[in-house]
Amino acid sequence: MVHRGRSVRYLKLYLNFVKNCFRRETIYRFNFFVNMFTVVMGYASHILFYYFVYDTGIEQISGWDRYQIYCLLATVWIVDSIFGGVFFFNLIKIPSKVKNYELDGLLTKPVNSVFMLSLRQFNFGLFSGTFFGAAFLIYSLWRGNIRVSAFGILCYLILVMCAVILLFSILFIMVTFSLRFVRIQGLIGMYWTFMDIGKNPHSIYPMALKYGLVFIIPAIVVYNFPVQVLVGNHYLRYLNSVSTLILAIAITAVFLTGSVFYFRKSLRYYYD
Amino acid sequence: MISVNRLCKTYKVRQQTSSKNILKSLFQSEYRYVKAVQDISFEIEQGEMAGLIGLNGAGKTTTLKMMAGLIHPSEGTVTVNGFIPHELKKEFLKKIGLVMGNKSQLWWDISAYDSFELEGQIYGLTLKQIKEKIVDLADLLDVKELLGIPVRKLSLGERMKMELILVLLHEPSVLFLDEPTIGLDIISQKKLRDFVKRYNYEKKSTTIITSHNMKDVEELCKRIIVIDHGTVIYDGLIEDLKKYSKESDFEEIVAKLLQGTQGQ
Amino acid sequence: MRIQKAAFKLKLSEFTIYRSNVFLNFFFGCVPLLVYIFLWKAIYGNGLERIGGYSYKQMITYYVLIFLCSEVLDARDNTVKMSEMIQGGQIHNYLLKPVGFLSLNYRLYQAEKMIYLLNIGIPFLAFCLAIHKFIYWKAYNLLFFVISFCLAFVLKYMIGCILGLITTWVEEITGLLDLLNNVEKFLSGSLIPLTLLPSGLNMALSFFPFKYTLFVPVDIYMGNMKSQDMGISIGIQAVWCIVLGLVLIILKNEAFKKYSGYGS
Repeated sequence: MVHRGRSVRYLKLYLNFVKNCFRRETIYRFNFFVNMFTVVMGYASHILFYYFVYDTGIEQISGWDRYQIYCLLATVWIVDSIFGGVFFFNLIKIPSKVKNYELDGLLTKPVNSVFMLSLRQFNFGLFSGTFFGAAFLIYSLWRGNIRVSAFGILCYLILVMCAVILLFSILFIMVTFSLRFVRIQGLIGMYWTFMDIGKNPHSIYPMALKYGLVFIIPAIVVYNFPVQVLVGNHYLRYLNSVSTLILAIAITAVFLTGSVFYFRKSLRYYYD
Repeated sequence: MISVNRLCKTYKVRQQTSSKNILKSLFQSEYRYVKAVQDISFEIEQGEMAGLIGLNGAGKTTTLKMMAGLIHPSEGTVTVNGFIPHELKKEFLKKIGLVMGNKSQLWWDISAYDSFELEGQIYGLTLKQIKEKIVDLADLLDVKELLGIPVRKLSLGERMKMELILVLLHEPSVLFLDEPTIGLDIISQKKLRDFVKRYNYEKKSTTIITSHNMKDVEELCKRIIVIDHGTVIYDGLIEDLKKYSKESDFEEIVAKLLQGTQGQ
Repeated sequence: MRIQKAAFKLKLSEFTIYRSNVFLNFFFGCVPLLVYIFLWKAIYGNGLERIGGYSYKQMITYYVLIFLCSEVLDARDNTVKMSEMIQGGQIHNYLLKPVGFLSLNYRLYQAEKMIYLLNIGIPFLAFCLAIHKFIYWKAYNLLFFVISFCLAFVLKYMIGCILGLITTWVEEITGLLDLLNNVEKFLSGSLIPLTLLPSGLNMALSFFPFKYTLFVPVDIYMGNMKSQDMGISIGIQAVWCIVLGLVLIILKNEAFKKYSGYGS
């Protein structure tokens, strides 16, 4: 009972954050549309890349046909948008907050500090990409004649959630790391560089690299796993989905606990 | 010599329309005219140090910028050493220097010395001349040890001294100081004032100072020009002002003077 | 020339501070190139000998060169600095210098880029050597590439300045810059060689300056063009330089006029 009361309280708190951010966003309407358009252009050019590549007459790229690739791109769009809207701007502000001792105020409040730190800001401009991505996904599934089962959709949604939490955990680790060691800009650049590797079909990479991209820097887990259960042309797709799901959840759990643990430990170090 | 004759400046300001109708406000704008300076005249002799005083928005900085040539006057004329400032002739620019207390000219990440070298080259000095000048000025301002340190690591007072060196490298015969002591502690303020005084005495440079810090003006200038609502309300010696006033504190006197016009 | 030397020295001091950042950025910039090696291998795996006129080797080399060029030619920092200067009012300091604003700015820009190129040169060559299996080498084209590259350099600088000066009229510019950056990425050929595009679209792109800032020099190096077309491309680049140069000068004069008219 106590537990439920707590989650309701946090949910209410979060809705309050979102409301405040919405208020702010309405003041800078013009900015909002420019930002949204900018992000759309970014994804559009990625899609156009494959559009023109397939137009040169090739059939497939290491087993992926045109619409399967489109589904991958749509998934990238969805995952990035949710992560960008919900977490990104919160995370990159953490170092300055810690250094300016703004954290002190947060730590004295009777609310989970990681919650406050990572969910305060909600960015509508970036989050809106989720809908564009979803629309593009539906279009690609339809045009590509790709059949999906209810189970497949469920797996997909869970894997997208894992992906967002993974992205959060990894950036959270890097941000925490930067508190003690390096300047933040370099690290964020590094983060995107490695995550971008996972935005391509995983089958183009040699086996050893692929293992690295699953277990060490899980970029493939983030972007490729969800699509894999949706459009993967494996026989035994069902069995494959279950194993993918279990693997993804396990990796996500490890990274999430690791990141929160590391943050709390560094914080203690910082304050001692 | 500076001579300002019936100087006026009117700004056209876009009015903020209410946000009810965004589309309309995007394409249409309403303007209103603000008279920043109205009919100001005065003359300043070579080697003189004069203070421009006034409340925020009184028109001091606008007047100063017109004298430096940054702003085109709407009406009236300015001549500085025989030049018309806003023509921005090279010979004119080589004779003036402008220090703005809140706008740094130094390169943030590198040492002040590096900034000075480029600056000196811009004014056509040789490397040898530049070096001599820097050593000279740094000695006077007591910042010789700080020349090699990145500017961002300097304190505000130290940075201001560097700003002064930068502007004085080419030995301007007319110096404009806009709020030179803003944000400085009292010791730094004092050192800066002493330096400006000494420089003026040695080089006979014409110096015009705007400041909200009455101490600056009182210590440095014999003469003040008080501006309010874009017009000159007092132009004369500080001494005279003190003589005719009941107050003994200079700041009080000026405050009375300005309050008098506010009440009208 | 002396100012150029001083600018070079100043930028060198600045560079030494950020050196580790620069190298780090460079190395991480190489990672996507390695990804391209795998991706295009899979694409060429369909059995096509040439795609968009490029062989597999040429395709990889295309991206390597695009990476180098876009790093060296990137003018975003200059644009942002310029717009900050305009908004913060520091531009006043430049107006009062006996050297033109743009000529000083260009010298500093050129110095910065030269230092970057000199420093990145050896790591870049080492990287090329490491992946030499995928590098297409043709010394004959190098000369034309260099000419075209220099024109692209000037072109890119001018576009950056024009955007920076626009701040005089449009207050918020970074949003616009990001938008343009994303559009430019595609139109300039940094995502995909423009020869893969349908010829109609490719033709249409010739009416924008973007492709001449990146794609044209790199495509010239690939040597698939007839020498006559190469001449035409370089000619168009030169024409764009003249046109944008004129636009820039007009814009600068208008901006400064607005400054002296309105002040800040």
